[in-house]
Amino acid sequence: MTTRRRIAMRLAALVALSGLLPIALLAGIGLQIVRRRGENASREALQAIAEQAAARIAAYIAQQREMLRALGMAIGGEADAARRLADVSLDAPSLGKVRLVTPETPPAQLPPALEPEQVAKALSGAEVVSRTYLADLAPAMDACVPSGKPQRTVCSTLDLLELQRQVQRIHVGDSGYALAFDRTGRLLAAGAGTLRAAVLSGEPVAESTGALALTGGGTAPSRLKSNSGAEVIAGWAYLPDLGWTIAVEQPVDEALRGARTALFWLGVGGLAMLILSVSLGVQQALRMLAALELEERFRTAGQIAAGITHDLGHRLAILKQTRELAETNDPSYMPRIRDSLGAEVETLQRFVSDFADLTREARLADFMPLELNAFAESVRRSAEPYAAQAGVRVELLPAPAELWVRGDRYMLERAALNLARNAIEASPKGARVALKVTQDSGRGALHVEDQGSGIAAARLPALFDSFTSTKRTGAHVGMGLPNVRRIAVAHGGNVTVKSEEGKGSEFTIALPLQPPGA
Amino acid sequence: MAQPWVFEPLVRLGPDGVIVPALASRFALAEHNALRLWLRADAKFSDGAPLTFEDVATSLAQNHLRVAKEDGAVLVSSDDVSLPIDLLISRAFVFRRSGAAYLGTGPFVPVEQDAAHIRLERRNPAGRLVQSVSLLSYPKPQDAFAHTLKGDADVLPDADARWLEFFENVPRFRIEREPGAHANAIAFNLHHLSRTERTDLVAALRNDDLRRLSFGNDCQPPPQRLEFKPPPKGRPLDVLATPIHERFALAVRRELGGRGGSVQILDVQDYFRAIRGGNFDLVAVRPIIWPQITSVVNWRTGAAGNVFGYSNPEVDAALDRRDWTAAQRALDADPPMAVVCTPSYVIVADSRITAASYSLDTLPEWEVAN
Repeated sequence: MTTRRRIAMRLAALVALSGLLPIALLAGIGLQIVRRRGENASREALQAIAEQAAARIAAYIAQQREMLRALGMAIGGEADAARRLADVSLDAPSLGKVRLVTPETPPAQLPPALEPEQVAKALSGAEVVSRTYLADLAPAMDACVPSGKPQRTVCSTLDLLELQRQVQRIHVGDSGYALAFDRTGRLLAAGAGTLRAAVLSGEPVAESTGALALTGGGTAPSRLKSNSGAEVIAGWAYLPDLGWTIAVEQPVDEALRGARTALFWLGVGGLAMLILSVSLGVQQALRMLAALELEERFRTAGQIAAGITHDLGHRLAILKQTRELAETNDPSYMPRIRDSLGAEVETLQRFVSDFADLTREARLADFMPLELNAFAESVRRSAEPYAAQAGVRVELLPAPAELWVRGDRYMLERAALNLARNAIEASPKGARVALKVTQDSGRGALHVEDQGSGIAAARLPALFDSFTSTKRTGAHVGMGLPNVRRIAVAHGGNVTVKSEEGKGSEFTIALPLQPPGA
Repeated sequence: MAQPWVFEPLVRLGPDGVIVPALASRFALAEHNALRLWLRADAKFSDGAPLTFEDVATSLAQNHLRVAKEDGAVLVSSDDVSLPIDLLISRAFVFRRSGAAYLGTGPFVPVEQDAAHIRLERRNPAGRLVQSVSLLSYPKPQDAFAHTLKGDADVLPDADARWLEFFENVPRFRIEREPGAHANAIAFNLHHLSRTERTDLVAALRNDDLRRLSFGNDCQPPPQRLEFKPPPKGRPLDVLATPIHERFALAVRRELGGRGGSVQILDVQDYFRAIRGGNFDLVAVRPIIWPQITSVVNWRTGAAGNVFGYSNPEVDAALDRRDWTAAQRALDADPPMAVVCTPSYVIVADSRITAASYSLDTLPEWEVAN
């Protein structure tokens, strides 16, 4: 991926994210509200179903008891009541075993769940109802109603299998179901097949606690973990006359499927929008960067041209003066003409070298192991003649141990020499330039210190930018320090500067350390 | 229940109710209620020992059958001439004693056993066939029903039709129905009711209203349809029943209209005491009616299962000839009972189990899907 493309993508992503994040945040809050409202709506719907079911069950039980009352009054007082009541169960199986109870009825034939006091109360003409209990295979409930005659009551064991059927018929979505509990929290009927065993065994289920809470006047949880371990949303209804509780529940996953689907598609839409806007942004940014680069090139070319024009103009003026001296044919000028031409040739050679350095790229294939102490010594020796000419000493302060780096020796030497030359030029006669080698945090560093006048603090931030050199003596187009930075970066390192006006400067090239065999 | 999977008889009842060879390679009826059999040469017990004459003699002696060696064949006879010898042999499993254990030649061997459970393993694993069977015992049928619903068991055999609603919408289970071997019937007191009265009562009681009122739709009517006749006139008839047939008895009384007398619901002991004492007119019964050979047990003169003392020379002659059609015709003409319907044999099984027949006798051929 090219640098320009990478920058373009970053720019586009930044713009897209900065625009989309607040929207996404707002959308997230909105969706959370939608989800909560969805859960509330599900709970309200389940509550309504539970209440309807409770009303139906209450009506069914009331109907059975009403039928029993009618039978009690119509048949209970007749002479052949026992036989006629026995036949009733053929036509009304839900009434279970209907029988006449008198004080002479043997205990074994009394309704099994009625206490003796209840039987006595029934014989005295009151209507009594037992707790629910398991008879044969389904929950049952004993009831006795008046017969209209003293000491005779008509009793029945109401078969609550019909309750199971009613509960079993309630389906909510794909897997929602209903449950019915008695006042002790015992499961009387279950729509969920896996819970029906508890109807027969009497074992409490997860919802029993909620049913007991409702019976005791409290509230039941609207969200709970069912026996299967699935989280469910539940609606509850209470039948105060019977003390029964009806729960209708649905797995959370299913109840909130609609809201979750909406969330999913909104998420997908948002992501698609983000991708679209990033890709459009990348295209736009690429165009802008191309235009900027073109403009930058023109500006750079202008700066180079200005620098070259200035420097070559200066050189040209010197050469014109030299030519005028030569045209006098005065032999006494010859030494001056020779010195001047020599100096100009050297200056122009450096000028050409600087430009040549700018065109050379660092290639990994050309990298070789370099020992920094030896490298610094080599730099010191190369800078020595120039320093001597300027009356400056160059000293090497090596690291205590060998420090190995990898790099293009020629380019690194050009960079180090550039810094050394600058230091020498900045130093007054008799001063010292130090080349110091150190190690820090996995990096090897070559420091170039001078005792010159230092650099103004205001110039430091832009010191390594192109064409910012203030030197206009000799051939300086302002490409030296930018080139040093380019070389250091190309080697995985960097270049930094510390300077204090009146005291001197310290330039540091830091490179990653690598064992020679790596 | 596990015996037919561990042990095999010399002959067994085939799917159509006819005796077919099992450990015997072939057989032939002999005179004086005897059967001549030729043993299979490849039959081996679970310890690898081959089946011998001595094994057969020892095993059949446990069932009061006499065994004699006869020119490469085995002659089996019984002193009890009231029961067909082939039926007696089909109920006699062949075993071999090895220390305290009894070894069989069947496809399974017991590997664990206590008061509440038996675990059997197949001797030779075979593809997707059932490899291991655990039989779990519970104090009451309702407990077995509840534990199966809960998922503790994979199969509930002989499920009460009233329980089936509980298995609806439970994806783990499938409900399978097989033709039942029993009937719901009203047997007559042969000393109180004449042949004509009994024939008329059969016509009065064999009707769909009575069947549905008593048993709902899960009980199949007899194949033979009769023209409905009102009950014959006479004194009220008392009906005797156990608690499981209370509704049936009440429905019969109502169906008899003016001839419906008292309904007596007794526990099983008192019920049989009343039958033996002849203190009834009609009694609700649940006799085995399949395979046809069981007619011999129920109705042959002097047979052990003939608790009502039925005796009809024409019926006896047909049964002795194994002519079931003629026997049934003779029974219809002089009916000892009125069959109202035949309840299906209902089995609740895990949905992964597949079988051509869900009869427990065929369990060794059941396959289990992954």
